[in-house]
Amino acid sequence: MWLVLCHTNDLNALWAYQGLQARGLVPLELVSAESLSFSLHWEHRIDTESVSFRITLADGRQVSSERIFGALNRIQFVPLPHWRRASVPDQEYVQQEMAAFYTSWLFALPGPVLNPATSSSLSGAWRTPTEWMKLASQAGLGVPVCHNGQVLAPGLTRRETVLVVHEQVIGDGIPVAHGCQRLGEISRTPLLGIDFEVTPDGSWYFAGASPTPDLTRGGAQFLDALKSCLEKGLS
Amino acid sequence: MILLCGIPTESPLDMVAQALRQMGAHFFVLNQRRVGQTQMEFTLRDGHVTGWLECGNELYQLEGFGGIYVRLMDDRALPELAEEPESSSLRAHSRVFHETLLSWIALSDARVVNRPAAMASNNSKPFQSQLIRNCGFRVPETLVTNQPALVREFLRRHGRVIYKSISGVRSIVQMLQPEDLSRLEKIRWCPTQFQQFIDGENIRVHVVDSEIFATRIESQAVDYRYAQSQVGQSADLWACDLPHDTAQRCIALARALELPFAGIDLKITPQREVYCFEVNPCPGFSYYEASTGQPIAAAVAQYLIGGTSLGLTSTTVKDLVSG
Repeated sequence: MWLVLCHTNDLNALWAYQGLQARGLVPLELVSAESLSFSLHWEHRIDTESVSFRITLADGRQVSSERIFGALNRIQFVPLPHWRRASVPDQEYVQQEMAAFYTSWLFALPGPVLNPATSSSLSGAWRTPTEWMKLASQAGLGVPVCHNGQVLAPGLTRRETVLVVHEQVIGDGIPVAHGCQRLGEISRTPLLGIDFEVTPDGSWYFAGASPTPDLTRGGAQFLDALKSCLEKGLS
Repeated sequence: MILLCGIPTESPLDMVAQALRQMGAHFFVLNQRRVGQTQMEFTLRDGHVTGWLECGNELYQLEGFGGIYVRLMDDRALPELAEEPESSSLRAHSRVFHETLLSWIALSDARVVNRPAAMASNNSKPFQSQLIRNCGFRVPETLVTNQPALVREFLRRHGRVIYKSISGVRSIVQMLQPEDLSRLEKIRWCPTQFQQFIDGENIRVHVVDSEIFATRIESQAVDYRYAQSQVGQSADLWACDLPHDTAQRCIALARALELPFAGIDLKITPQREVYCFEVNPCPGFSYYEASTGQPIAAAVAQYLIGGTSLGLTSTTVKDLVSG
């Protein structure tokens, strides 16, 4: 099966789920972080030869690493509603333990995963705005001056977002396509949304990047690319 | 110029400072406890970082720092802030200063021991275990579960099983005892990490760039760091040599985790199998150096100055990491 992992209020993920379903990607399961919180069975094994996990959700569905072909992963935190009445120190401890646990089993997802868990985030690498700016500069994108983490805006602009799916830039005629592709590559983020400020003279300035972007901006072309990526796998 | 960040009296920081002094290197200790007298600013322009750091009467250009050693404690726990109300301006200044400092460290072109992002891998032990096995090390069988029946079966299969935290929260490794089995139902609310106990020699390997310092630990304790409380006797530490391939694999592992300085915990079984348990990205090496005389601080200082070279090519590392 393919998975869409997200939060219940992530309308972008729900839109992608419906779009992938309409394109015939089956079997496709939508699993929310909130439903994972109430899982009945957790089993995650690691040894020298193999890594696996098996989860039984409260509604009876089974999510097993052996049966997964790939995933769109947009889980950003671990909801812990059943720990709300615990003491603050206990809540903090469980929060860290569960975040560490999710990092590991999400990293163990087989097949193409957009985006995989990293040591800094459950879905793609988390970076500070200035770290993204330095990477964007290395990718050859125009980057405004940044002082103590604050961007000195280039003036009157309009906002554009470019999606990159495994180094494929979504959209036609984008003047910064090569830089966007390069940023996706050097940031090791298979699914990346890149924001730009475009000045009246047509200059594109990097304004930020996210591994959990607004997917709807990519429209049908994005969904086609996502489906293709999930089916063919990442090279 | 080398920048040391932390508390000057803290042993590892103090030992690196002493080593730099003996080498005649110029360095500055950014004392966190003087955060109230410290300021900094930086600008990122065309991918290059410039700025300044001011502490009391001393002013430094950030681009003049060629090496940075990071031993920062949680600034919210600084003694100087203990009496400050939550809304105090000193607390706010401290938070902003530390965020700015860490942002700059992440961007700096200097040799950094270690960058904040690289230090995150042991926030999840099973996640790090997957990275370790990708580098070709054996890892102990690990089970994270909320199912008591699976733990009992795991215990039956291995005979001896330990349990410890999943996250980077410091926990004392404990052996799963028969009396613990009656408490197993509690794991239903929070999956817990259990691990096959591996019998053998404990080895701590400090990797500094391409240099290796291996220390053998003799102790009957399950967690030798707590030997005194667990078995009533401190652990004995001895410098030792590693097989060449194990040493090279340790260097490759540290490189794969982007850690110029790492503390790697190994166990070598009576059958000479090498298991890797964990990589500490901010090793408190002073205990090992004080016990064995191994010049770890000097190696760190030498690296910060820029005096060592890498022993492996990035291609080799990539091959190892991709498994």
